[in-house]
Amino acid sequence: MYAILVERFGAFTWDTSNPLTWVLALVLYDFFYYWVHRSGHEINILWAAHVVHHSSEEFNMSTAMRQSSTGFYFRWVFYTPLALLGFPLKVFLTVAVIDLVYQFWVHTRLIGRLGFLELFLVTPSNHRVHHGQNDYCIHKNYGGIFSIWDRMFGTYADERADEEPMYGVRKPLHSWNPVWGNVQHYFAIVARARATAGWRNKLMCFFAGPGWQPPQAPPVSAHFEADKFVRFATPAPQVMRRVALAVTVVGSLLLMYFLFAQKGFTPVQRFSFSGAMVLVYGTLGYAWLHPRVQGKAHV
Amino acid sequence: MSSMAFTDGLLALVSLWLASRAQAPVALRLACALFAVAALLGVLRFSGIYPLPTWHQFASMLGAVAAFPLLAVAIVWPDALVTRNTRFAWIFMCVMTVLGLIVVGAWQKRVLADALALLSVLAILITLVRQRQWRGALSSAVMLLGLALFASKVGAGDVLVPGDLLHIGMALGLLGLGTLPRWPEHSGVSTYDHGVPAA
Repeated sequence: MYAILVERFGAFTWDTSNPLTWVLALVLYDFFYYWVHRSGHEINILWAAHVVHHSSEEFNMSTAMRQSSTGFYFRWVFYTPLALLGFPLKVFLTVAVIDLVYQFWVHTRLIGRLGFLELFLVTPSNHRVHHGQNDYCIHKNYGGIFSIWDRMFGTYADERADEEPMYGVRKPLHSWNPVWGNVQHYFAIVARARATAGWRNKLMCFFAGPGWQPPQAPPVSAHFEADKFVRFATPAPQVMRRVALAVTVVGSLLLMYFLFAQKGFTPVQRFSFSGAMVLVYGTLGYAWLHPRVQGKAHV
Repeated sequence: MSSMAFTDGLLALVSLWLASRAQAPVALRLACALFAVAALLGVLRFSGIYPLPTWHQFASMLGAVAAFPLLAVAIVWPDALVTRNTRFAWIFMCVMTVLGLIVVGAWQKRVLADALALLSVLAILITLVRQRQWRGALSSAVMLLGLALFASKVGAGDVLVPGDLLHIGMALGLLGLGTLPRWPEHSGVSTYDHGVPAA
C-alpha cells in the first residue's frame, strides 16, 4: 500500500545517498509512530490490538516480542504523510525496522535511569512508566525512539523512585492463550456495545477511550490500588511444564523455519502452516488452564 | 497562470473563513479545512508558484471522500456525535480517508469519490428542501450543479473550464451552507473529549 501511495502521490524525489534523507525519514517516522501509538491507547477499537503487548504483567525483553496480530491492519494509515513526501519504500522500511529494533532494549527492569538521555530518548526507565498501570503511568510516554514528542504533547512522565510501576492492564487477561489474548478485547467491545443502550453510546464503546463507561453502567474507580493487585499466576504439574517447554522449543524452531522458507510456499501451504501454529499455541494456552491440569497442580 | 488559480483562490478564501468560525460545528469546520487545503494546493499548482500536482490530487480526493460526507453529516444530522464532537469528527474523517486511500488511491476507482461527493450534496439538498430552508437548498443546488458539470466535463466556453465551475459552485455553496442558522446553541465544547464523559 505504501509503495502504491508513493508512486501515485509522492511529491518529492529524495537522494538516498544523502544521510540527511535517512535521518529526516527516521525522525518523521518516529513522530508518526507517536500518534500511531497514542491512538492505539486512546481509541478503544485500536487498543483492542495493542492491549496484547500491554497485558503482560512481567516487564522484560519477552514483552517486546509480545506483539499484536491485528495491529498492521490500521497502522499503515498513519504513515501516509511519509508516502506523500515521497520517501521511497526502502527508506520507509529501513527506518521502520530501526524504530522497531530500538524499542526492543527498552523493555527491561535491569537498566536504571540514563542521565541526560532521559531528556530526549525513550529509555528503559521512561518506558517502564508506559507499561505501568499505576495512576501516574496511564496514557504516558508513547514515544518510539524520541521522548521529545511526549514532552511536546504533554504525555511525558518520569519514573518515580517511591512508586515502582506495576505492569499489566487494569482489565487483566487472566489467560495464557495467545489466540484469546489477541481477540478478547474485540469480543469485550462488541459485548459491551450490544449491552449498551443508544447508538451514540454504542459508537462510544468502539471509539472512545478504553476507560469510558456507558452512562447506565455502575461507576468504576479510576484509582489503581497497588496493594490489591495480584499478579496472574497459575501452577501446573511438572509434566505439563515439560510438555509446554518442549512445544515452545519445537514451535519456535518451526516458526523460524516458516519465516525463512515461506517465500517458496503456496498460499494454501502458508495458510495451513500458520493455522497449525495458531492451533498448537492456542491449545497449549487452553490446556494450561484446564481444570484437570489445575486440579493436578494443586494435589 | 490559469483561471483555475483564481477560482481555487476564491474557494480557499471561503473555506478558510468558514473553517475559522468558532461558532460552527466541528464537522463543518473540519470539512472546510480539508477543502481549504485542497484549494490552496490548487492555487500553488495552477499559478505555477510551487506546483505539487500529486498533493493537489490527493487533497481533492480527500475532499471528495471525506469532506463532502462530513459536510453532509453536519447538515443532515446537526446533533450527531460526528457533527459536534472533535474526536468523532476526526475519526469519521480518518475512516473515510482509509476508504478513499484503498478504493480511489490504490484501486483507482475514481467513481467512488465522484459518487460520494454527489450523494452527499444530494442528501444536503433533499434535507434542506424538506425543511423548507430555501437559501440553504439554493446553495446546495449550486454546489450540486458545479459538481455535475465537473463530473461531465462541461465548461463555459473558453473562459471557464469545468474545474472553474466546480470551484465557483463549491465556493458559493459553502458560503450559503456555512452561514445557515442551524447550530445556534453550539458551544464548541466537546462532551466526550479524552473518552471520559464530562461531569
